[in-house]
Amino acid sequence: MIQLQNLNKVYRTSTIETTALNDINLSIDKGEFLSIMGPSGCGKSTLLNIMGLLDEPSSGKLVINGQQISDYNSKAMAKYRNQHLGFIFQSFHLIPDLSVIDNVELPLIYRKMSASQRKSLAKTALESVGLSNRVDHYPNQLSGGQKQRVAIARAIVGEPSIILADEPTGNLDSVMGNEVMEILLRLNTEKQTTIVMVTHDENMANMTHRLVRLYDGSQVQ
Amino acid sequence: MILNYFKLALRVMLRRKFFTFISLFGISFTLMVLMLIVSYLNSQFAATQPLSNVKELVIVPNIKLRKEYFDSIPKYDTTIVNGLTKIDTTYDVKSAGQSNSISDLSRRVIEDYLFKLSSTKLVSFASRGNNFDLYRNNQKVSISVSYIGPNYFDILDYKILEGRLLDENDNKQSKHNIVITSKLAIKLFGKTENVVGQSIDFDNQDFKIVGVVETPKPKNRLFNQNVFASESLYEEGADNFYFGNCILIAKGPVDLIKKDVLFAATKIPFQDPEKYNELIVNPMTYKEMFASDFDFSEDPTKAYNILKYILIGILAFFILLPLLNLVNLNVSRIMDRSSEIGVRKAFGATDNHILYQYIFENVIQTLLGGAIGLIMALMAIYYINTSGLLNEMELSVSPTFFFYSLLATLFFGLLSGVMPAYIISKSHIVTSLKSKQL
Ligand SMILES: Nc1ncnc2c1ncn2[C@@H]1O[C@H](COP(=O)(O)OP(=O)(O)OP(=O)(O)O)[C@@H](O)[C@H]1O
Ligand SMILES: [Mg+2]
Repeated sequence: MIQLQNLNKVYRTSTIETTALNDINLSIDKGEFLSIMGPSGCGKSTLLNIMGLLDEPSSGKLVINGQQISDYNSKAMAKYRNQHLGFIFQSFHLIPDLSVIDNVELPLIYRKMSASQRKSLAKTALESVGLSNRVDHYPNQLSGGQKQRVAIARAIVGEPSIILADEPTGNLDSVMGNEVMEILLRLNTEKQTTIVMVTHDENMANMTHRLVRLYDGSQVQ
Repeated sequence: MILNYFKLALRVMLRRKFFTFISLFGISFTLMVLMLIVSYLNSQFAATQPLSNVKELVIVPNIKLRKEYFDSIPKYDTTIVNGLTKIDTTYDVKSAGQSNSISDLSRRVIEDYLFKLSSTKLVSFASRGNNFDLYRNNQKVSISVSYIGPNYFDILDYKILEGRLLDENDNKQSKHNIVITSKLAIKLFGKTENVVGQSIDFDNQDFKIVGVVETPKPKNRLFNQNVFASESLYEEGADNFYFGNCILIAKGPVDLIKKDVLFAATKIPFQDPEKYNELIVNPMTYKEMFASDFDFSEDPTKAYNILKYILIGILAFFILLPLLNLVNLNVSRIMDRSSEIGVRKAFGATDNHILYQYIFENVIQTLLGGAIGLIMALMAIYYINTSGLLNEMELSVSPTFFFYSLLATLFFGLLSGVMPAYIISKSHIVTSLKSKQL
């Protein structure tokens, strides 16, 4: 489903050059739940961002569903993200000016879809994360765990085939972290959604199908 | 989608109250001033009664006599001719000064030399208002009486509130009939109805009011009277051939009329070449007449252009400063929301989605500022009109006024919103996401 071939990412500023990713080769199958671990600064987020078409590699190939992504223009990438990808971030990234339901609707706004259809899909997504009673709240009225569950609802509302989660439990205590993890596992088994998750938690990584370790931009396992 | 953007725009404004207050204050104040300017220009130049024919109107307000004195200045040059020094004398002719006299035209010059214009549809003249004081209920009322030629009311189509305008009969039979303006009617009688039939005395004669017309909004030398009487009652001092008290007005294709007038003026004889050697008659449009009051140039077309550029310059400057300020505010406000932009893009927004969203938000905000500005402008106009603050000038509010106010508002909204929205729409997703945590 996702193939990375000889992928490199180098950040260049006028004074220094940082190699964030060094010759990554990785193949992720459909329905797989993969976790990425490694020390801080080793390039985990960079890798995830490249897989999510949020960032471009310096060299190498990214192929998703047989399509070479470097052929895409920015509009096509936006469309691809909209229809096939869902993101979950460590710091939730909910839009504070939008209510919970409007936050969840966000990906659907960029599809041609009627308001009522958007609403009903968003409600279903919120139900599946157990938050149907918080529809009209605003993000600042929610706990961290609730925020992350809203973020998950937003990531799954468009039924993407791939979910990319960057330390989704990093800002949560263990109870809430486990709740989030359960939702992701359920999503993976029930809907065969491919999930790539960055984590610092060995236990959580062990619950996934496969673990990839990075060290200093290189794949070590 | 529009509804979502609209809800979001309101929410954003409510959440950042201080910022919203600052920007709305700037927007509404700027737009209020713009609206007042629009209203002023509208009241001065709109093609409404009595200026429905303004596009076909040519005015000759005065005649200028000029004498230019010349001095010959000898210049000595030494040259060497055949080995001998020779002094060469040349003369430079330089203007040493000029004397000008300028005044309204005499009726004789108008009637004898400037009335036969082949291109005009209608031509007439009016004397500058003659001032008299009336006493009414122990109160002094100043009137300004203008004697008007035939066709005057066909060129300037005053709006009749009561009675009728002066006609051929009034003129031929030298009837002591007058038409007065609504403002004078109110000053004299406290009302504009049932004024026809009343008489007033001035110049030791009795005049009967036959009509009341609406007081024109513009204030300039075309509209400096509040009483109209027939020209057959007008006696002009015969002492000066050129100078009198009249202005010529003509209706027709303006460029042709101007040429005609200039040509006709060449036929005006020089009465006393000792005293002057140049005679200048300047036909001008209504706008040019307005501009020529500012003395930028002797040529009314030039004067109008200079005035236009000065006004545009002032306006541009006046718009530019608050606009730059607003752009600055908008940029910082949008930067504040850059992680929102990152999130939107991550979930499928294209650059254009982001661009339109922020322009839309800005237009909504500007429209709100425009509405507040409109209310303030209407209040200011009401105050100016009722207080007689600006020399009895009246500002007008018309559909044109609303149209241009809306245009100014939208223009302002787009201009102040496009640049910040464009910058932000091009920002890199990862950088946006990292910037400030939501
Ligand atoms: N915009 C950038 N410019 C320069 N260097 C960058 C930039 N973004 C990331 N880096 C560098 O790239 C390397 C990888 O960063 P990345 O964010 O992927 O690390 P990470 O593994 O996600 O770390 P963490 O666990 O702390 O989130 C780091 O050394 C970082 O300093
Ligand atoms: Mg990271």
